[in-house]
Amino acid sequence: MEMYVLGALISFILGWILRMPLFPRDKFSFEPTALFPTVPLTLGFLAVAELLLKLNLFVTFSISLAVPLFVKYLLNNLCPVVEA
Amino acid sequence: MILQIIVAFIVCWLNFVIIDVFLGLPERPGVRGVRQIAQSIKEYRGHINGGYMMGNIVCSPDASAGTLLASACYYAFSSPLGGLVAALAVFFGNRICSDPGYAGTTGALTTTLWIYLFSSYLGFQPEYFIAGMVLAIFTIQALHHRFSSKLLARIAKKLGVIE
Repeated sequence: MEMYVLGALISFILGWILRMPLFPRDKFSFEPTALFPTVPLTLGFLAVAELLLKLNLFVTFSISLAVPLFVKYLLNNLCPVVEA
Repeated sequence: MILQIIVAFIVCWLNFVIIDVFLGLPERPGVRGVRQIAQSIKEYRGHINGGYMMGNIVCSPDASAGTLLASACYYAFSSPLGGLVAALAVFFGNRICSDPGYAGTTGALTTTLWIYLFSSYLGFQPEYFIAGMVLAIFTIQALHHRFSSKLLARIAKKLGVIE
């Protein structure tokens, strides 16, 4: 449990350091923010890591540092926004 | 067991309807195809905004998909970790459908919390929530489109999401 809280905090703070907005602008915005989708993705990847291998401090740090970078630089290229 | 499934049905219904309505599903068609579904529900003497919500539920994963997947993954992994994995899967499913993913991910995370609380303190099993969610989505998408679209629009109006 404490690893998940730690991971969520680290990824939120790193998202803020990477100059992402802290919270979504509105409920239709695709702009990545420090809260969404960074924190839910960190929790999800930590859960996958716990199921596949043992969760420890090193794994938690690695995932929580990698997810904000992924969200900031890769997510919109991997899943491009198509305007209807 | 029947009583527990009924309680799970009520929890799932409220969870997905309130999250979907608050996160704007009845406001506008989010992805392609929703307008056609809403239009045909309107021609069937339903409500256009309820039709938007029903179309959005069909066309991309939203809180109903999040609720069902979180229940199924909680059951499969026998732990709340399954709900977090479901939230991850629903988010990427949303983005593949070009949907921001707020409703689906929030729905999966809140359902994980409800199942955790209900199983820890009241002895509920995750499978009750799977059954409850199947019944909940049946009442919205299958039973009576005209009535359910009007009900969804009325809930959205009450919550101040649409005028």
